[in-house]
Amino acid sequence: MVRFDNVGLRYSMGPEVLRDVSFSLESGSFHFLTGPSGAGKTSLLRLLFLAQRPTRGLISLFGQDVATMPRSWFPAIRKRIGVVFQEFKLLDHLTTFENVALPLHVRGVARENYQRDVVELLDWVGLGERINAYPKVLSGGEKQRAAIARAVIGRPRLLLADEPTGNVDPQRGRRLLRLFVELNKLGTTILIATHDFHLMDQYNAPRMVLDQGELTVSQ
Amino acid sequence: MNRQVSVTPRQGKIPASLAARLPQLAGAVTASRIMPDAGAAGRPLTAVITVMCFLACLALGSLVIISRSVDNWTRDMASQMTVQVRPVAGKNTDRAVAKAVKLLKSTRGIASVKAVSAEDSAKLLEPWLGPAALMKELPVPRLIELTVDKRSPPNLEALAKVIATAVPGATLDNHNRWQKQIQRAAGAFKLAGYGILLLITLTTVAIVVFATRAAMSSNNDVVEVLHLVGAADNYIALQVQRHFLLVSLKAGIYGALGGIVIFAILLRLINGPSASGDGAAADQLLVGASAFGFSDYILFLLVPLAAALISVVTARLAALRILGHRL
Repeated sequence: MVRFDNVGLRYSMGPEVLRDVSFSLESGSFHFLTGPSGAGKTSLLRLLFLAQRPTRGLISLFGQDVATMPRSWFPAIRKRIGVVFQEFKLLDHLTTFENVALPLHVRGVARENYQRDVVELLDWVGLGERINAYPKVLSGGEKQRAAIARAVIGRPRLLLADEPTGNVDPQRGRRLLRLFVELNKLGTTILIATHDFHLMDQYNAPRMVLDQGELTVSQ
Repeated sequence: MNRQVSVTPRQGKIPASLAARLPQLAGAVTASRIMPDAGAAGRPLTAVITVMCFLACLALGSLVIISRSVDNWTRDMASQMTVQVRPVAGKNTDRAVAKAVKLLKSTRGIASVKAVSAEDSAKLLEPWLGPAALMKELPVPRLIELTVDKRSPPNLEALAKVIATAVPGATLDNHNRWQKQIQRAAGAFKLAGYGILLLITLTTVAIVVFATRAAMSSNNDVVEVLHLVGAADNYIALQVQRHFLLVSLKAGIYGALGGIVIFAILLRLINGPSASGDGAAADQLLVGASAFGFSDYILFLLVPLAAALISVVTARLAALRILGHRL
């Protein structure tokens, strides 16, 4: 599903933040991506959700070479990817419900066909009472859960999460991890970027370790 | 995993408290809300497009009045002509006038002939030459007014030759020179009017391009999120153009209403308060009330539609261009 071959990335004329990164994610797999702050985790995720092109190397997503893929194909690829951003990226002028429903709205799904799903998912992530609240009045944890709900509502084939439990209490973190595990069981490939070892210890999954732009994979 | 959980629970049950709130979400994620209203694409743009539409209405109305008035003037001038009979030494001018009138009446294509009496001619010249009594001593030319039958006009060149030969001192003035001058002046005014409309259009395009760039820039996060949840450029451009459609339509209506009111007031001032007799005729001389009727105000309603069309197309093209430079 995802394949990186000797991928390198540098911003402008700066040093390479990713060097010769090679790995593959099989369909239905579950991986953690870890490493110290500034190791390049977020940059790697940006390459995966097509927000960035590599400086060198080959990236293949869903069997398509990203380098030769026409830009017009990006929306179709991105619809198969759910992303949880570290900084949430919720739209401040939309309610929690509207933010979570956004991927379905963009796909042209009629509101009456997703309304119940969105409400139920929001209820499950503990935001049932906040469906009409705007992000500005949500706590950090609530925003994070809304961001996760938005990422999973469209049942993506690949879910990328950048520090998804960084702002929630341990109990809520375990509950969110269960959501990812459940999605994985339904066939979604999961990659969670985190430096929370407590979280990684709760689920037995391969760990991809990034350090100074170089990647190693451990079980 | 909790057994109750279904990630996309299409058939799932939700708590009664939440189910009761579903109707409140009836307006959720409306397309017009995806792009926020604030920023340069909000009130400032509304104000600028309002002014542009107001100016467009004034320019459009002026164009209509100029075109129609010039048509009226030239139509009247083309059908009305004058024969001037200059006094010739040793010849009786009254007889010459009578001969010319007889000749004109017998000419095909002349609808009416009317000789201006010597007294009336003297009255016409009184403001410049003094009391009519003094003019008896001056060789004042006599005038014959004639109206041409528009359906079968005579050969004017031939008529001019015939009358000059038959009546010494007589010349036919078909007002051709004035007509051409008026048409040239009117053409220049019309050109200026179209130029103003073109400038207004180009300015509106430039403003909308600028506003679209500002909107895209200030909503960079929104565009990024839309892209990342799988929105295509067309979808995002559609949100942008919908926003501009609403703004420009609203602003266009304000501008057109303002234009209608101000134009009506200006017309009232130009036409003046008198509405009867010679005064009214004089008022109508340059810009007649008939040059811009009630139904012409409907033209002004096209201005908001044109503004909306220009804004939507411009915003779409500008947005697609900006999006094309992103990943």
